[in-house]
Amino acid sequence: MKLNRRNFIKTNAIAATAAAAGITIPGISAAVAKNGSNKIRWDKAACRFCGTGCSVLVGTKDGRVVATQGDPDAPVNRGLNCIKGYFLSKIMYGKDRLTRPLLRMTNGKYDKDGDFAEVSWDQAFDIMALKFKEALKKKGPTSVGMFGSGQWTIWEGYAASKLFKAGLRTNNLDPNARHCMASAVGAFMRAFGADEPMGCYDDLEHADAFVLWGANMAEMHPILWSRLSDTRLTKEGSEVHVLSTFKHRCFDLADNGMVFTPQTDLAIANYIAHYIIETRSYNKDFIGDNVNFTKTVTDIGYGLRPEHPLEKAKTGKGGKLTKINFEEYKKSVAKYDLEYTSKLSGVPKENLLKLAKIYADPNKKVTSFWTMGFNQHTRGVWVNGLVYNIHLLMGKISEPGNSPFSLTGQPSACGTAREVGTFAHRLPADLVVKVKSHRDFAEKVWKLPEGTIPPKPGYHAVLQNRMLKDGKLNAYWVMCNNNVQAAPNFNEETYPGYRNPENFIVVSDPYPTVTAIAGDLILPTAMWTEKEGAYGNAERRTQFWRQQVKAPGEAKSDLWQLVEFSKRFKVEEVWPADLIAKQPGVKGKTLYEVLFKNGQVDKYPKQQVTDSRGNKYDNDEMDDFGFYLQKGLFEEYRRFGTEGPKKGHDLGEFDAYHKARGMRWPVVKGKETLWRYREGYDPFVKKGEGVKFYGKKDGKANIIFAPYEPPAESPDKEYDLWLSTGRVLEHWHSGSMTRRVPELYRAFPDAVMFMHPNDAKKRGLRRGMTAKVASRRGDISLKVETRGRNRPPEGLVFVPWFDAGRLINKVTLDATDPLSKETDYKKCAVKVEKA
Amino acid sequence: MNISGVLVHVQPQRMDQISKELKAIAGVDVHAAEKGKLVVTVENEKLNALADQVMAFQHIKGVMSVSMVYHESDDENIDIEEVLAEVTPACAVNTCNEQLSQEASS
Repeated sequence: MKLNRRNFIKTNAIAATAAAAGITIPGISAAVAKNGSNKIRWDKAACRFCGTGCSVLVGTKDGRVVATQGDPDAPVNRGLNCIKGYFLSKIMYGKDRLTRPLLRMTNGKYDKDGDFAEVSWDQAFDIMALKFKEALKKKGPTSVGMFGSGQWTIWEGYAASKLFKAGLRTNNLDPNARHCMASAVGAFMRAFGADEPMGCYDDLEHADAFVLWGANMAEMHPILWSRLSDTRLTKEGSEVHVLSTFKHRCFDLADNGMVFTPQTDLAIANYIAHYIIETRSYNKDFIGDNVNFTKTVTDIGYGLRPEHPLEKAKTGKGGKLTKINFEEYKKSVAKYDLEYTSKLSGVPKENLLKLAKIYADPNKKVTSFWTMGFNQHTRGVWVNGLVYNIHLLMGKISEPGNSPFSLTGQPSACGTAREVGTFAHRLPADLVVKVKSHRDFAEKVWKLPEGTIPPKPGYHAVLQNRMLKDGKLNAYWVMCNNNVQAAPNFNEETYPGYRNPENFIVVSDPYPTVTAIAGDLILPTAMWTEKEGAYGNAERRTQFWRQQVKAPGEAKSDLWQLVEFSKRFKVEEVWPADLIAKQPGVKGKTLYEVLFKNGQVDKYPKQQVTDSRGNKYDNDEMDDFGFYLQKGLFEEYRRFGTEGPKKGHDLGEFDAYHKARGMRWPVVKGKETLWRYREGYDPFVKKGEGVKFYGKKDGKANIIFAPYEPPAESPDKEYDLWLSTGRVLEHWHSGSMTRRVPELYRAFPDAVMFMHPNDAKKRGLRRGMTAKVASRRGDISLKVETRGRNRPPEGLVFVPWFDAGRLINKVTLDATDPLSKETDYKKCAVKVEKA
Repeated sequence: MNISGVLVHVQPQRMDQISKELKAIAGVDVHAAEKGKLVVTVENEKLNALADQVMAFQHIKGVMSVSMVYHESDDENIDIEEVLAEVTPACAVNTCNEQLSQEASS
C-alpha cells in the first residue's frame, strides 16, 4: 500500500499510541525510525519537571531544542508524556531569559536600593566575594549560606555541598526540598535507618489496591497516574482508595473516595492499625522477626518562632523514641476505634471500614502513595510513620505490589537533595554532620584535614528566612529555586529578610522570578539540556543526559557558577590557622584548588562527548575548566556509597548511566535493585535472612506510635475557613517555566480560589467574581471557582501557588513539623470576602 | 500539518460517550477503544491550536488521564518561530521590582 506523507505520519502516531496502550490494531505498525529526513538529532534526557523522572527524547536542530517526546524505551513512562512534558522544548525559550548578570546599582556602584543594571561576570563575582568575605570576617561562617534545590543536577548539589560545608565551613546549606520532602526523609530514617522507598514503580502493575494519602496523582504525577489507571481498568478486582481534604480528579477513579477534616489523617492511620490488631489480621511472624515497637515524644510544638505562644505552651521536645511492647502499642491505638475516628475525621464509617479491610486482607497487595498532603504537615514525620506502621503490621512491604511509597515533587529531590545530602544536617549517602565518624569519612574522601566540616547543623529553609530578617545571615546565595514565592509567610518573614539592608542576596536563575527581583545580584543560568546533567527520581533511579544546546548569551550553569566562584577564596581567608596547620599542603591555595582541582575531581581529561551513534555533544564546563568536571565529581561522590559507613547506597559507574535509561540504586556489579531489604531482590540481604532492614543495627524496622494532635491554626469565628495550597496539572511548582509556555499559560493563566458554592453564596460571591482571601498575616485577591477539577467541602478553600501575580504565601503560616522543619502549606485559617 | 498520537484513559462506563464527543472535534480521530483506553490522533495545521485541543481533552467529563505519545510535523523546516511562539509578556526587571516592593508595603 502506498502511503502519502500525511497517512504515513498518522499511521506512526496510531501505532505508537496503541503500543503504549497495550492495544493491538490490525494492520497498523510503525514504519520508520525517528531520525527521518528532517535532520533533527534525537537524544535522551530526564524531564525537567517532576519527581516521576520520565525520560524524554530531545530533538535538536540548528542548535535549538525544537521537539520533545516520550521515550518509548524508558521503563518509567514507556513512551508517554504528560501535557507539561509535551511542551518541555519551550521552557528554555521564554522571551525574558536572563543573559547577563544584573546588579542593583546607583551611579555605577552597588546599592541595595538601586536599580538592576548589567555587569560582567567578573564584576558580579567581585562584589559577591567582597560581601561573603565581609560577612565571614565580621560574624564568621554562620553568617553566610545558600538555599539550593531539588532541581539541581547531582554534581551541582555535590559541588555546593563541598563549597559550603567544607570550603566556607558553614552548614547553612539547605535545599528547597526542605519544603517538600524533609518529613519523608525524617520518617524513613526513624523507621528504617535509611532514606527513600523500598519499592519502585513496578508496584503500579503488581498491586491489587492503591491508597492515595494526600496525593493528587492525576494532576501532579500524570504518568504514574496513567499507569495506575491502566492497572485499575484492566486488573480484575483491583481497587483505588483516595483520601484528601477536598475532592480532586483522582476521585473520578476512586472506588472509595474519602474527604477528611484536615489533620485527622493521623487518627485514620491509627484506626487502621487498631482494626488490624483487633481483628488479629497482623502478620505475627513478620512482626516477630522484623519489627521493634516504639512510641515518640508528644506535644512537641509547631516549629514557629520560640516566642510564639504555641511554642511556649508545648510540653515535649524532639523525636526521641521509647521502646514499648506489642501490648502497649495495642493499647495506644485502641482509642482510635471506628466510632471515634469517624466522628473526628468526618469520614463515614463504611468508608473507613472498607479502607481498613483492604490493608488487613492478607491476600491483597496494597501500595500506598503520598506526597505533600503528608509531608507538608506539622506532624509530617509522624504521619509518614503511621502508614509504615500499617504496612509493617501486615508485612506488606519490600515485595512487588506491597509498598508504602513516598512520591517526590522535584526531579532530583531524591537524587540531589537527599542522596547528596544538601540539607543543613546532612552529608552524602545518609551521613550527618553531627556524627564525628561521618564527618571524618567525608573529610577523608574530600582529602581535607580533620575538623574541616562543622558539627552543628546549619539553618534550615524556614530558619534561613528568619535569620535573614534578624540580620544573622548576611551573605546569601539562592540557586535553582524560587523561594520568595515558595516560602511561607512572605509578608512577615521572607520579604523583610531579603530586603534587610544588612544582607546581600544573590539569586541564580534563568528567568527574572519573584526571588530574583527580591535579590541584589542576579546571575543568569544555563538550564536543563544546556548542560550535562543527572537527576535521581522517586524510585531511586539515577538518570543522565548530555548537553544538547548552548545557553543563551552569557548564561552559565549552576555548576560553573559554584566552581568558578570557589576561585575567589584563598584558604587563608576562610579557614583558621590551626586547621591549615593540620594539612600544610593547602597553604596559599584557592578553594578551587583544594576542592575541585584536587587530583580526583580533575582526574578525567578533556574529551569529546560522543553517543553510540557517533553524534557529538558540547560540554561547556569541560571546555572552561579543562577537565571532565561532571565525571570527576560523580566518581568522587559515589565513593560515599561504595566505601561509606552506611550500607546499600551504591551507585554505578559514570559512563554506565550515559548508556542506560537510568538505574535504581543500590547498583551492585552493574545491576540495579528493584525492592530493597528482601532476599532475592536486594544484594545486601544474605541467603536465609528473608527480610532485613539493614539500615538499623539489629536489622529491624520501627513501628512508631504517634497520636492525633491538633494543627497549629484552625478556623475560628473570624478566620472561619481552612486554606490549603498546592499545584495544578498545567503548571509545575512556581510557574517560572510553565507560565512561559503559551499553551500552558493559556490553559490555566491565573491562580483561582476553589471553594464550595455554598461558602461562596454565604459571602455574596459567585463563580468568576473576585474575592479577597485573608489570614492574620496577609491577603490576596483572586477569582472564585466553584466548579471544575477541585471540589472542596464547605469550610475549606484551595489556592494553587504557581502564580507570581497572586502570591498565596502572603497568607500562609510558617508553622513547621518540629522534627523535619518542613512547612505545613495545607492548613491555616483564613476568611474570604468580596474584593 | 501536525499530527499527535494521544492515549486517553476514561471511566469505562463513559467510554462510548467520550469517544463520540472526541470524534465530533475537527481533526480528532479515535482508532481504538478498549477497557477505558482510547487511541486518539489529533491533526491540525497550527501547532498551537493542536496543543490547545489536547489540553481541552482534560476537561471532558469522565476523562481520567491524557498522555501524549507521539508528535510529528510533516513540515521539512520546522517553524522555529512557531515553536518559540508568544510567551507571557516579560516584565522588565526593574518594573517588576517596583511592583513587588509596593505590594509588600501595602
